[in-house]
Amino acid sequence: MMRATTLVGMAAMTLAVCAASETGAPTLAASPAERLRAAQSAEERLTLRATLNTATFSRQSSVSSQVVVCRKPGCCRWEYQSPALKGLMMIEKGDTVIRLDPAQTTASTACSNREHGRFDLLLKNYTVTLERTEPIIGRAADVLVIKHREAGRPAKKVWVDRATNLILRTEYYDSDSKLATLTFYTDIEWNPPLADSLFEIPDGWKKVAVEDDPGKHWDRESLSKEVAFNVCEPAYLPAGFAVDGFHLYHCRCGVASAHLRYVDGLNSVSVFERFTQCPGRGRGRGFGWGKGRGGGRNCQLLANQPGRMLVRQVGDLSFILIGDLPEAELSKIADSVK
Amino acid sequence: MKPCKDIQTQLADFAVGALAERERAEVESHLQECPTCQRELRALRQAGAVLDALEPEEAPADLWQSIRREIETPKQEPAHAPWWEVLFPARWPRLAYAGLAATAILVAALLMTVSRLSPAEDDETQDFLQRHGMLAWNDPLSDKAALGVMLGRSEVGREIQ
Repeated sequence: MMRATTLVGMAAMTLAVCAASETGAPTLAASPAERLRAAQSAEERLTLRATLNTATFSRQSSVSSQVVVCRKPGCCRWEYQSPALKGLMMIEKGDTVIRLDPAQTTASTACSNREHGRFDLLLKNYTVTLERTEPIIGRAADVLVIKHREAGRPAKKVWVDRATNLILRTEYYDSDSKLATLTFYTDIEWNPPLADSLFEIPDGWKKVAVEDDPGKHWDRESLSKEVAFNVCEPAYLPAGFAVDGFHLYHCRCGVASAHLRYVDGLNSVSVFERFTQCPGRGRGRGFGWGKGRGGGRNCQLLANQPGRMLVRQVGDLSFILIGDLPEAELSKIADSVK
Repeated sequence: MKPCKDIQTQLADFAVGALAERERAEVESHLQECPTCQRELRALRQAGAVLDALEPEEAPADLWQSIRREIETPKQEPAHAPWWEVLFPARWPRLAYAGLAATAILVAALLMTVSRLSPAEDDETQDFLQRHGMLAWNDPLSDKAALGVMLGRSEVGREIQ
């Protein structure tokens, strides 16, 4: 009798949890880390039409835009309202990301695969703390702070809706601890009807691919054959970084590059390797740094996004490192590429 | 409470949500009690809305035709000296010509150096930055609205259809 009662109780609890997840209502997790994990995947289950503001601040230029977002499970569409972005739209459909450019009527497609292990890496490298609970656009939200265990790394602050787990506001602080990007919802309409055509490439638009083998991962040997030189890996990586993947990438002049990507859960470092000589150079489109200077190097802050780029030339090869790290760390990685 | 003049220097950042948390709280608490600053904030927001709504002005339809007419219409020029005499009057000392040439070389060298130190202007740099950003799309907690701005700011890719 006792056993039957227990079974009935467990079944009722399971049904309650299922019902909660179908309505989008979260089961509030005990720890901030688990709360963040729930927030990470919450938006994929929601249907909404909303307006948000996004701004990116850098030393050279800042850009902001109001964005109309349409989201339903498996799809999302962002329509940028700023005149500077000329009607740009982004669509995410599964692992495919489409950039719609109304001025050119082109649709550029790329693939970005989801590696769920990256979130565990984030929790290993970063601490997640609940700072406070406060209202935002009339909804109660938990403010979670995500900080690296070491100094000189980016940090994030997110406002997680207590009712749906949707992230209502995001602040990204770069490795210099400066606010670099800011995105926040200003209004949300829940469960509106959304036509499938919103998430499709309009008829008659020119389709453009931005990569040769979408989502393909290479090993070092096969990638070396493809780019016709021995791909080198950095012997030094800052604490917490791990290999995410090796990729093949052709820049617009047609030169094949090896793209080595390293991640720590929140931050990433790209190492591009390629022959320095580029057919585009004659047209004034090639890299100028280090030309004629063996071992030339140039490191500077990026103009339009957080982070730094470092370019180094060794013999016939150029190494281009991009990441949001202090200059000393990026240089140390570059020096260790062998 | 902070004086209005201090608060008003922060209102623009407050309006776009760019203030740090402590400063934001200060401004919010000031706004609750100060109708002057509330009005100032409303005005700022209205101005922002107007600017956002602005669209680039179209050039007049006949602009190109009028420029072309100007170019193609033969001018009634008075008889003049050959161009080399205009550019290099005989009365100028040779030293001045040498100075002009040296300045031109210096300016050209400076421009070449600056262009080499400005990767943000380089198309290929944009390609690598876009590629870096693209692969961050599905990283945990990626701010896709902000990434879209970065990815949308230049044309990349090749036609496949």
